[in-house]
Amino acid sequence: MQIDVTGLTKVYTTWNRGSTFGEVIKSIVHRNKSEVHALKGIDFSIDKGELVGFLGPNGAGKSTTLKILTGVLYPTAGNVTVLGVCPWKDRKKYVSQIGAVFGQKSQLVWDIPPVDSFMMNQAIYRIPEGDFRRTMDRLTDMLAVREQMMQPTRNLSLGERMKCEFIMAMLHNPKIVFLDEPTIGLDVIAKDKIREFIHEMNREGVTFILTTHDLDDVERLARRVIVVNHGAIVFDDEITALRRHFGAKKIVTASGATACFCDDAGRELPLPAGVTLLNRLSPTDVELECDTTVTDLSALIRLIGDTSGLRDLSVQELPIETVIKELYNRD
Amino acid sequence: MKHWTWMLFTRSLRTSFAERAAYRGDFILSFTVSFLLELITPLVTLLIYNAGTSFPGWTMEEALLIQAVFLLARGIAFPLFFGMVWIVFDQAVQGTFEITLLKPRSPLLLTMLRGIDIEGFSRMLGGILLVAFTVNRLPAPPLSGWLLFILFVSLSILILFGFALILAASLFVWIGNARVIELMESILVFSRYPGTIFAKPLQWAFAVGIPLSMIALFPAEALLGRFSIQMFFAIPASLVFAGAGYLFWNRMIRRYAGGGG
Amino acid sequence: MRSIRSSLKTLRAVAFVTWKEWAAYRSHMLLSLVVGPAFFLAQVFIWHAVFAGQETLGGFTLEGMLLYYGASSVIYYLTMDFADWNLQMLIRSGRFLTYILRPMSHRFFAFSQKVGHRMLGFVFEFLPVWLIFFFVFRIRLIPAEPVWTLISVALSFVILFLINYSTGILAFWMTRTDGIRALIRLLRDLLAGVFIPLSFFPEAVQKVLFFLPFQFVSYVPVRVFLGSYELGGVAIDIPVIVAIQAGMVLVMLLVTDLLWRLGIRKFTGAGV
Repeated sequence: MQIDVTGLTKVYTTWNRGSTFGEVIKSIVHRNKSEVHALKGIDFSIDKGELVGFLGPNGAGKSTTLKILTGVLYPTAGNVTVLGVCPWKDRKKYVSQIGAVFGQKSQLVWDIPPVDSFMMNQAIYRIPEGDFRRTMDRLTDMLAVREQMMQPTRNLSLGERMKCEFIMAMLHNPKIVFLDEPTIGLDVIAKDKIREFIHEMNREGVTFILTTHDLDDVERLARRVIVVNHGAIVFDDEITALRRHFGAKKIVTASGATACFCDDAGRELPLPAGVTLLNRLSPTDVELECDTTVTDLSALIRLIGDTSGLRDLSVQELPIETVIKELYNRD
Repeated sequence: MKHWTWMLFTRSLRTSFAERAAYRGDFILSFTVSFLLELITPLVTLLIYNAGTSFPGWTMEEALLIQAVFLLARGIAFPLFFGMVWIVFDQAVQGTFEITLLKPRSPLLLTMLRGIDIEGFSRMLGGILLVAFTVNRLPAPPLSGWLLFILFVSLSILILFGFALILAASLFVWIGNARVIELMESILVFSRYPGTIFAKPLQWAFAVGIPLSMIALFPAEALLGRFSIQMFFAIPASLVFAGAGYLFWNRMIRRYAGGGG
Repeated sequence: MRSIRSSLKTLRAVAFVTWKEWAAYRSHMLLSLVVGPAFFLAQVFIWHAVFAGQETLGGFTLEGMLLYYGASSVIYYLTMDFADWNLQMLIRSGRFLTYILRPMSHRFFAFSQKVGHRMLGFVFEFLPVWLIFFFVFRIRLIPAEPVWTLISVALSFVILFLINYSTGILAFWMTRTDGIRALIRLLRDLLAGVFIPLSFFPEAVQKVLFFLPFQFVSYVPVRVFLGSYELGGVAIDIPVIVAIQAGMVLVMLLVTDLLWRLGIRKFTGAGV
């Protein structure tokens, strides 16, 4: 086990200032304390070489967990062991083995070329010259930013900049890399390239922890997903299990030769058990959600064929958004 | 092992230079202006003496010497230590201090090096020039005077470092308050004048409490061959002040990271 | 008449929004209670020492000198702004675009913001500092001619805004204005008599300073406050110098107009 977390708890105290003038004046003398339970004793563990997606609505406790795992924040209670050490107790020794990429916070210096920032990192992480050159060359080739890294950061496109942020984070060959919204704002091609890069490095044994709202990222990268909500873990399993979480539901889009599940006057006709109408595209075209534990697919398809004649059909998994939204909305 | 920190230092200097050089015209202007700003107090002193009066017990050159030493000490301390204040300001406001904490180095070292501002060295040059100019017009100080001067200026820089630590640390809790520098300036103003203008109790406070007199007055008096008992109490006071600043910085970082171990 | 009324309405609306915005930072403003008196205290020590054995200096008695610095300080809290920083920030970041899209002069908008900000400053900076001067330092900052002083301070409120705003307009031409703004601020304060009364400068210099807008920012209102105006060896009646001050407002309006027209053509909206 590379990362081991037990009973992780974090309570923040915030001060209420009040909004009306009267409350504000009062607050100069006495402020109301309120406690925010960001993490309520969570447990999980991650093995070397895993690629885990951390999901959760804003304020769920994701970034708190990330900050604790990176040694930046101290918890109120609980044990965390990463790479054999406690992140916040042995901070300097610990962080020399991890890297982080923040989609919204840049580590590069704005007015100078990324390569100069890389050299700063060399001095900070004490990377021997040979290793440094080799790693930098290799990473810049993988991400094809050889020329771009020589230009001031402000002249680069967002995609090029993010690639350089990745290089910055991995120059010192970290064993674990934390990613926080790494593809935010990028175009499709740039996103693809970055995902490819993450896959490649993951294959070489680097553990990735990904925090994101981009469900595309999650689907394409993560094999395992941990969903946090209200400071607790509500899901921790493989991504394939995520969809099955709400029963074996499928989305069936059907086009009938004649009216499908509605009469000539346009009124809706009753659907079989376990089937709900998601969207009526036209009298003949419908989008249905089918709980296959109640009515199996073949029965539904046969029914449509018998009642309206089947012209076109598509069967899809429940979109991951629906599942996530459900998990977020749960209390 | 040691050479890594030296490498970090030289690369930080280079980065600071490259950053500033990206806006050449502004750099030259800022470089000049920070120097000119420091000349205001000496100018005022000049105008006062020109008007036919003086600081009792001090000739114009002697009074200017105090301000020259202030310029020199500031010129060394500010480019090295005070950029840190603005780095912490930005990082506290934007919530990006985590990035500094993610690196395997002392956050103080990283923030200080990131904040090195070579534009500030114009003050040092100005200070050297002004000190040379005034010392030239005064009786040559003995060797002991110079030695004490070097000791006192070193302590002076240490005190200013303490100020920088306190300012930067306070920005962790007083997030986004750009006026902390003003607060410090309103305190430092008392270090630029002959000590005799203050009542005795205050003179002692500026030697033993917050050792403002060590910043410019005592080094100048050392060169002038004037010694006072307050000077020797100010030596430990300077170390205590800088130490307090360092403790305060550590405390605030720990608080930023959520307190306790 | 209608356009004046609607302008006043806009001014009020923007001023109140600005007041609310900055009320969240009133603890920052309260710092002035330390900074202002601290700087003043230093002056008290300096001039007490320097006046030993002298009746007058630069045309001031000791009491007059302290009144000068006291008045300077409180007038600063009534009239200061950072319109230069604001404008250059908007231009640099490209956010300025959102203001061009409004059917309103940005200069007037920024002015309204200053009104709101200084209203807050009146409560949290001017009043407390004035009280500290009155009770702690025993400096009775009561103007010799209240009506003329009010007018003069109001005019310097506008002139300082226009000077700062003009400096901000330079951001249309330069990517970084930190250096030039610091230079202008330095000159402005020095030549406005903030550090030392203008009467200490050589007479020839004083005569030049008369024609620059800077003296109208601080030196003139402080003098009007003290009851007599004199520069370059020439004494001028209060009503006359205030009239000249009003004239300088018009001059600065033209200057900002001109700079604006030249600058706006350069605006490319980069960085949005």
